[in-house]
Amino acid sequence: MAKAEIRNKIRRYRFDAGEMTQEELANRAGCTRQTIILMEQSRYVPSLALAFRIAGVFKAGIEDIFEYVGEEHEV
Amino acid sequence: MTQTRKRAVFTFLIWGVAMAAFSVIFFYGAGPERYALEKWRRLAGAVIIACGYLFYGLMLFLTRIRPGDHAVGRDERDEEIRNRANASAFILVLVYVFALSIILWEKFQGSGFVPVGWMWFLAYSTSFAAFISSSVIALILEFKASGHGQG
Repeated sequence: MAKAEIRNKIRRYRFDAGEMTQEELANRAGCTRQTIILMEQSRYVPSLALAFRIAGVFKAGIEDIFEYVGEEHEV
Repeated sequence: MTQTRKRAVFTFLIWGVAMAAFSVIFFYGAGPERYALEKWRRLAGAVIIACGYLFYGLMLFLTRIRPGDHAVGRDERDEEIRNRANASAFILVLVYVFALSIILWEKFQGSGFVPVGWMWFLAYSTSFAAFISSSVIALILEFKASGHGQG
């Protein structure tokens, strides 16, 4: 299986949302602040459900925030 | 601090202290060979493990997620960490029981029997090994920021 990476723009979206705090985003998305911190550092990839909830907080599409970066995937 | 981390730290402390106290009682004086024959040592061992479970239950109660909590105390990453820690601890406990049994067999095969005190040790230390290993692995996974979707 090819190695893939999911990048995100959570930090930028928080900034654009009036410097929303990590804690506020965590509470609204239903995860811990630690998880938001790790996601912003690209050290944690969220589940699809959490990714949708985060996109929902920013009223954006999931692909606006999360980006799949990887080699061509193998089936 | 997330609930997973809090519980892992307290579990390690509670069962670490219980294991240390039981080890002192078990290896005290005449040692393992006479453990089963000395009532006060058996009683002390039972009190130690009972206290361990009591404090562990109390800790679970005190660190529970309350409906009115301001911050989210546990999420999918914590669940994943806990699942992986428990699965790894399960394997470690199997290895521990197997290894200790073989060591006892090697040590006592010449005499033809194992002092029954060692059975107490095996029983108690299996609990300690399970709780301590799962909490340590959970802390390591937390520290490494492991969890869902990590390679």
